[in-house]
Amino acid sequence: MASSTSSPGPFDRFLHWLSPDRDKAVQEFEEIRKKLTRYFALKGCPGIDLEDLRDKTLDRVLQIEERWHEYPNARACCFGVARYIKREYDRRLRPDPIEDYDPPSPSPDWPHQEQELQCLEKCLGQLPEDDRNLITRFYEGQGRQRIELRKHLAKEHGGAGNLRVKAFRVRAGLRTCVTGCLTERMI
Amino acid sequence: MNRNFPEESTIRQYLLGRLDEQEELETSLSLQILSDDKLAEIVDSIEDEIIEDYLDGTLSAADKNAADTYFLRSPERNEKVHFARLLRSHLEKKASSKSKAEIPVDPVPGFLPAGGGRVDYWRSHFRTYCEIAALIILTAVSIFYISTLQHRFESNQAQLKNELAKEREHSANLFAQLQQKHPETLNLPTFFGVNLRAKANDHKVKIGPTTKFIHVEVNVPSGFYDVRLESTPGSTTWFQARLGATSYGLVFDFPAQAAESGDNCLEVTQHQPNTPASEQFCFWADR
Repeated sequence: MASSTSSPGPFDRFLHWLSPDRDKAVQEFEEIRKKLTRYFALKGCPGIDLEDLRDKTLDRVLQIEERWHEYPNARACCFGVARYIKREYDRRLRPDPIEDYDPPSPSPDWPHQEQELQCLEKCLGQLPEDDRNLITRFYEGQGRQRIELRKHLAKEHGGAGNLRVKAFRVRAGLRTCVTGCLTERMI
Repeated sequence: MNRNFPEESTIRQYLLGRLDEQEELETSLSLQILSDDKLAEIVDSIEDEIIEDYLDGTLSAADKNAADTYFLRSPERNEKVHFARLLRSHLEKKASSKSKAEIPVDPVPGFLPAGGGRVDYWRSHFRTYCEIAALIILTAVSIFYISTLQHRFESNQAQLKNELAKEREHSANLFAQLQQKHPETLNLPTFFGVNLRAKANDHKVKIGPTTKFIHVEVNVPSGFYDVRLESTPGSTTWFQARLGATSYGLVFDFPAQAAESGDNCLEVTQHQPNTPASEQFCFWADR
């Protein structure tokens, strides 16, 4: 990426395509970089490969200057190319070892499990009461009973969509907290 | 969900990699997600929901396959699966120990809190069992009802067959009796000479409902004759040309329906060159 972007020709022209105003163009370019990273994450690419995939995409965009006119704008061009990069990535990945993947379950012989549970307990304790109440009730019951309880909870929170987003926020916060807690303990 | 946002099902398809072959839709959806933070959060929450469904085992076979081969290829999503599993297991254990320690309080009418052991298990599945039991009872009642109807129908059918056979037999008997009383062919007394209208009292016939023909014998010389039946003078109701007469006379049948109630006359004309001669043989018919 560095070699391509340092080349003034196509990169400058790309920035100009983004916006004739240089500052705005740089800002837009940064935005596209971020969104490309997010795009590859959304498409299930591992975190370790995200930056590499993003840079490959931007390199490829600069290489296909003669085809820019086929796209309505620079952003669409970047995501069109990102699709192809993702396909190439998928092809390279096959056969996929994840097919046999069995997500790890907390087991007594897992050395970090105890610490993980302690961190989880601590992070749950740090949650605002409403959030703790919500996540506790979210996982209440089993089978059909859980479905009924969720319906009840969704009513309280303004619908299933709202409840889903709220639960997501609480889970995301807890995950960040637990990761931080584990990192502290390991250090 | 915002009316401008894509449907939840479309987002699920997107996350499960099912839109990858639809370039235009996939690209426009990607751009929309990446340019709208609210939508991006919804997408993240749906991603979590897929993970929850995965752990609950409620994904369809096709979605489960897409999750295994595409969605969960990302180590970050696997981390999420791991965390979700840890969280739910921890909260379920907590709920279980809490419910054992406390008097159960029903959070939703008709349900007890989770982890209440065997009673809870039965309660949580009570509705399902009731539905299964109701279905079994309904099926049994339906089978019983159908077999009763079938039995009733068969017995009715047998009875009707029986009655029909009796009716046929009865009808045949009646017909035989009728035929005895009213034979198909009636014989008129032999005409030995001309028998004019109003003088035919001794030539009478009673035409019954089963009478089809009237048998006539006329004492005439051998030869060929045209025979015409007229009920009222001048009107022909039956005609036969060139009937042959032997030494026994002219013998023929005519349809009973051609004769009308009252006086009827048979006009017999001999075929003789140049001199056709006609004679009348009248009879009285009763219907």
